[in-house]
Amino acid sequence: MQSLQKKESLMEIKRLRKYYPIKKNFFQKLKGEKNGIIKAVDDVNFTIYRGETLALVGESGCGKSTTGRSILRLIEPTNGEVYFEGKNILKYSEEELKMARREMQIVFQDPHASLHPRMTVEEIIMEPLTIHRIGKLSERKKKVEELMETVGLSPKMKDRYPHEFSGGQRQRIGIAKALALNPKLVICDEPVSALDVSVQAQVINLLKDLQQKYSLTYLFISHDLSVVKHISDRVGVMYLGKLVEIAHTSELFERPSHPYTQALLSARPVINKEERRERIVLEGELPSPLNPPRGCRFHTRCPFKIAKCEEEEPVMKDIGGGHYLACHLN
Amino acid sequence: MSALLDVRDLRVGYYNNEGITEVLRGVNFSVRKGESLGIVGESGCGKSMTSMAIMGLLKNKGLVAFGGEILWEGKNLLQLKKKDWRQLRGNKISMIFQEPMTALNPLLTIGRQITEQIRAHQSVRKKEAEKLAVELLQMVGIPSPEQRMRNYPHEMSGGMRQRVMIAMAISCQPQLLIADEPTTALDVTIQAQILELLSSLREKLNMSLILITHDLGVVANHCQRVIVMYAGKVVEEASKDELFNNPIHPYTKGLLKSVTSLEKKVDRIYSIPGRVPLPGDIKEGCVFQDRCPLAEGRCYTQEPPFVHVEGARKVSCWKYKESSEEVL
Repeated sequence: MQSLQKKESLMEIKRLRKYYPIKKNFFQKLKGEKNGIIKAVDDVNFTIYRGETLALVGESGCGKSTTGRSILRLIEPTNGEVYFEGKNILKYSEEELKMARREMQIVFQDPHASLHPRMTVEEIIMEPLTIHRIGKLSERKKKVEELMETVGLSPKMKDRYPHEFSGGQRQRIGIAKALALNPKLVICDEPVSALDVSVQAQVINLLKDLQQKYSLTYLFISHDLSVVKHISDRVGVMYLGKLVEIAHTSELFERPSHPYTQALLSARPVINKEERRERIVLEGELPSPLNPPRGCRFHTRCPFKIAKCEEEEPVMKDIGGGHYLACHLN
Repeated sequence: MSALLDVRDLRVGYYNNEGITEVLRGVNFSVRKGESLGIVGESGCGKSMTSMAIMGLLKNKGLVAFGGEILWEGKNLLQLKKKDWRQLRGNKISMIFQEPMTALNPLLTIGRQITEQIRAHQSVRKKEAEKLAVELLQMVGIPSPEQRMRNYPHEMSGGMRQRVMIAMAISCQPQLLIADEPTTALDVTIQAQILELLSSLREKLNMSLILITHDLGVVANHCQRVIVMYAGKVVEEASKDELFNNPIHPYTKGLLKSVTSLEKKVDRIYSIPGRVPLPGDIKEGCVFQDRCPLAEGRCYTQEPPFVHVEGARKVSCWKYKESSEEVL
């Protein structure tokens, strides 16, 4: 792993916010319910370095997918700045955005829902090339065959439809499509969660190979800590729309500093006895993002909370070696 | 320990245009009183179908049992009449499903659904049933259960709904609880809570638990004995420690290797080459032949028997001697 100084940043995310308004209807208003705001992503800052794999982990509803989609502007963020190679893409016009998207692609979670059922594999993989008007038809066809080879699919299968493929193969199709425009950044939104263990391994190996071959940068969104530990260089942990800890993978797994990270790591069911930790079973559940707790958002479930946690929101601090933490206890 | 449930050579499948497609092709295992048995395997290996067969739910899915028997206290469940099932299902054997979102009726309150379950099996008054329901909710760790009784399923989170499902399943103090991927739809921290709850309830109520999962980590933490299924067959049966310390069947080995290599930081994760054969597409000989590094000779022609090796362990492999000597 390279040291931080040598790394060049590819994307910088500053104060990213995505709020969803919740409008109540007439009858709910009669009952005294007020319009609210869900803060799905609230003031998130991080940097993705060129060539690295940054993982975002957290439980459902923590805002990791919303973050991933906001920085591609698949969802329009409410507020913030997203710099891709020095330029703020949130200020881009439609036309500029289209050009920028050549550099940024996404692989979705559900390979059953993200492929058009009435398009052949060739049409699916070719679609980005067609949209961006790259090459002649014959060239595009050749490119599709190349891409299928790279992701480990036989080009003979190009006239088949998605339903004829298994989950793992479909995910390969999704990856081929994402690679069609030679992007620099690929956002992988839970790419292996829908797959079986043995197939998961194949897809992860493929992603790693492709990263080396095309010097890709990944933003890897996942809830599975084992997968994250394996694939990523750095890990960011999110809780209720906030980034609570970010560090190098080995550092985070050896010295998790945020109580939530500690609980998350200990809850992971592992087989190796040496890897097993004393389990911290968290009390209660994720509070509603509509009405997040005051102060530190984790204080309602935190086993170590102090008085300050209920009052004041902790800020991200560098605790050494590129390890950032938002917690009052440290 | 005596066997509570004994599944012998169970064959289940469906009719199609060409005849019969067998999905379960001879499943053998037993569940002892008070133990927790894990059933692991990848999707399509038949683990859920096995549980459907035990619960007598095959017909609802268009499935037919072609052979074998499921013995419960000496009675063959496959020959049970609909009327007799009511005595057993929910009463002695109950089940919780993967999706707590779809298993509850969205139009009825939680309280109504639990009391309905209680009153279907026990002759108690409505008031008493409600009191029982509150106790059950308390037992599964739902805070302020009296208020929760009046909630509808959509007002609860996934973890809470799964707790309600568990409360319903244990309402008649069953002897056997089947949990089919009970935590797959839940987050890790909630998953840990639910699994702890199941383990503690099993001890408290002295019931047997069948935990069906694809996650070997869950099995390692919560089961005493494990069976591994592959393409409609049980390929290995062992105690938890034996299985994780010294897996014998090449499939179990491969599966473990791919999971543990994920846990360690290695360059490449091991993955079993190829894919699971589809039902109806199974060749002569061993089911694992195409993906097995040791396959040779009779592996392609003869099906290996499911035999005892080393005491209580059972494995279905011709090459188990070579395989057990090979280190992971």
